[in-house]
Amino acid sequence: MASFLTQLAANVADVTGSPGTPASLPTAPSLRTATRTALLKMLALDDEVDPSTSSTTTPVVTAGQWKVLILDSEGRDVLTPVLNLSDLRDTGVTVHMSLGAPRQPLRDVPAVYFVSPTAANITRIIDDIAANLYEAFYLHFTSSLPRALLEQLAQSLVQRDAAHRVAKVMDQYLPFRVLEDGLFSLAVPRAFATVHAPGTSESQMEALVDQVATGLFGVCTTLGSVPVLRYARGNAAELIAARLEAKLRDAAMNPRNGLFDADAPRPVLVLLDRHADLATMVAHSWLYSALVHDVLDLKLNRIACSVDENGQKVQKTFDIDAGTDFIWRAHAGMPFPEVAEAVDVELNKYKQEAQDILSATGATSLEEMNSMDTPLNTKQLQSALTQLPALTARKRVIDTHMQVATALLSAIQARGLDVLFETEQKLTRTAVAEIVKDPQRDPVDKLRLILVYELTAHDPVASDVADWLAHVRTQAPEMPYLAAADWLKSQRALLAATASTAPAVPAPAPPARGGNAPGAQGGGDLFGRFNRLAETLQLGNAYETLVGAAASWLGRHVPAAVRHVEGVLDGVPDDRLGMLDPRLPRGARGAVANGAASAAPARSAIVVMVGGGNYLEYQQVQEVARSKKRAVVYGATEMLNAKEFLQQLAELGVART
Amino acid sequence: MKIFSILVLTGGKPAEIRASESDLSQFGFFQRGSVQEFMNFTAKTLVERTGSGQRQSVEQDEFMVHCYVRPDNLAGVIITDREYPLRVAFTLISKILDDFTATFTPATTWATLTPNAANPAFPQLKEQFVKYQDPHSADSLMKVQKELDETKVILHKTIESVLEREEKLDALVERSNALSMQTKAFYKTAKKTNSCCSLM
Repeated sequence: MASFLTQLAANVADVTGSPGTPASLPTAPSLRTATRTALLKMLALDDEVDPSTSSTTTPVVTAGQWKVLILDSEGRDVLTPVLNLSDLRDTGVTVHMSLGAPRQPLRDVPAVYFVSPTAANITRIIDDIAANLYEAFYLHFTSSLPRALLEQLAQSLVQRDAAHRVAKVMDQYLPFRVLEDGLFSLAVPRAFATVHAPGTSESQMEALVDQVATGLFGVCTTLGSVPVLRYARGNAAELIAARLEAKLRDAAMNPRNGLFDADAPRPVLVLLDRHADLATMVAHSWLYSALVHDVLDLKLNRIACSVDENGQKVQKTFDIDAGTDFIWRAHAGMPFPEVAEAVDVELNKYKQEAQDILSATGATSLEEMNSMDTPLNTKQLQSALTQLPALTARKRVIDTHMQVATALLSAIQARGLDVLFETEQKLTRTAVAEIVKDPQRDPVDKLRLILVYELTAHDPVASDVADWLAHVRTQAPEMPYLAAADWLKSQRALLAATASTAPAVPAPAPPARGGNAPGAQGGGDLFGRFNRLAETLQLGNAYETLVGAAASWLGRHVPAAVRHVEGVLDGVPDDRLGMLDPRLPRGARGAVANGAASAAPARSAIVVMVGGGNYLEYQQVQEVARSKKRAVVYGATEMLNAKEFLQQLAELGVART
Repeated sequence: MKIFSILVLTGGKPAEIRASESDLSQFGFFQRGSVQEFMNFTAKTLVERTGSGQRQSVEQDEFMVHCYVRPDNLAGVIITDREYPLRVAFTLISKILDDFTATFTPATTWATLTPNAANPAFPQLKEQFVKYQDPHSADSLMKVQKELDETKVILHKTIESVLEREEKLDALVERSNALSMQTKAFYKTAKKTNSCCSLM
């Protein structure tokens, strides 16, 4: 493995700079910690959580009573990335079961339900309570229970004289999945396709907007503060911002609901549309987490891949615990060769420590130590026992990443992903043509390269692009993603226009910016806007000034999200983004409509991509956060790898015909 | 075969839309606003440049825009796809203008009508719009409207040829107060990529 890695490192040598050590992020409470706190509180039933525990540290978990946890698929998806089995055991959960599965009564144990507020679930819960399955019922919902369902629940229980069995009914406001400290997904499927498909009805759009706004409302309440909203104009992000603002305003007006902390520093929540930057979703990345997401199957922090075991290919799944996986936490944003090296280093460190323990106790192997036959003196036994679980846990993490890295390596070798990454940084016609004409390469990779070229090259030659696409079409006529290229071609003009448009209602011209007043003025203003658009789509040299050459392993193409976050954190007025402040009285909104008034630098930011996000963009945003030493949380309607995103584009392409 | 929009206008400079019905579900959700604006703009522009009693049709990318200005200054515009039969379109315009006149009797009331106000009071517009999506249901209608056989329809290949000699479409789009910034931006970039006026 080592020699190939040197080769890989050499290949991308002129692109990767010297790796910076990831600086620790500021200590603002992370979304993950806040979600954990909320869930642990939920599981503590009526026990008081230690009031001296601030929300920035992990709360002290008391075992309390034994209890049963009932989950539906939504509850499970919310809970699994944040709490693992040992966390559950620590809070006293003896067993967790699925809401839909047939369950035996456990009359002397209370049950905590954590489910989504649907009619079907309510019916099931009513049946459970009527059948008196458990000692007491604590009902927690991932998001707000609609009034009608609450009444139905109450009525049914009163009718069956079972209302006293319900100890608690609570909205948890957690309709999102926290994947890492600063990363969440709203699990809203196919948002991009819905926004752009012909034939999407008002009610479908309404439902989508509501679902996303509800998810983001949950994020805001979990973080505990009412953000200032900035949004891209003219499309889905704007609709969602308006809906979210209404929800926040209503909730903030009633301070007794305890959802928001009035004194907490307010973040800026930036809502962006995916179509303003498509290249990030299909680009090939060299970062560990992006590669895992792209090449292997990474969903909800679970990796599924096939691993070579004794010469046979075996399907395996690995769970990444974003709280304790020290390799993932340190290296998810690092280029792949470094990760492989880091794993080697950790492995050697582990072997050394294991050896030290063994030599201290005189045993020849850990297995011997585990059996109690070997005579050990008490002190050594004690120290060995305390170190053993931690060491075993570390070994498990190291093992996981060794296997994942090996699986990645074979894919990198097979598909030549290092060359693809490098080519996407330089985007010379000859290099691209060479790859496209190479019959050995995966046609999907070729399509992605062509799209990256078309979207981000300085001066893409349209005839080249057409030729290359035709070439790929002949090589792989059945490939479903080809329709994606067609859709992109037809829509690019319109997407470009939407991405750069000024407000539909002419806003009062900001006094500081001479000669740029919007309104029916024509050529000069629009030309200025198209210049900025050109910057966004073809980034080239502007990149270096943003994050510095040292981080060039992130890739040459800087996502639009990064530019907006930078602007927001620096407090640069940006009239491409509208602004809404839920705390301002309604009348005051007009005065800040153009965003020029919000020149104060933001203390922290939440970036939300409507239509999909990926790990490459997440790492890019984290890099900005690190360089500015502020916390930025990144979220998307769903996390999509290149193939999944191309799938949606292809569906759109087919629907047009 | 599809009708995208039917509009009733009063002629003159400027022409004004009095009633309209559209089906833009084929367009992406966030493009519909701009498409509607552009259709309205095209309808008005065409009516202003159509003589009294004249019929004109303009082929513009994948659309056909049919326009008839009646001698009493009431005008009808139907925007269809390329396949929709021209004769049926004009017959339908005549029928709708007749129905409009019957519904809003003194012609003086027309000046106060806006599409939102007129449409609920003029349900025939929506009925005809839905019914004649299938042009074959117009067969019986065609038998009644014999006069159409004698009339001439002026065909244009682009909307540019309808404009007066010094006028340019770009300038008209720019000057128009009825088009939002977004629609103007659509138009400009669509033109830049050679898919002029096509908002699909």
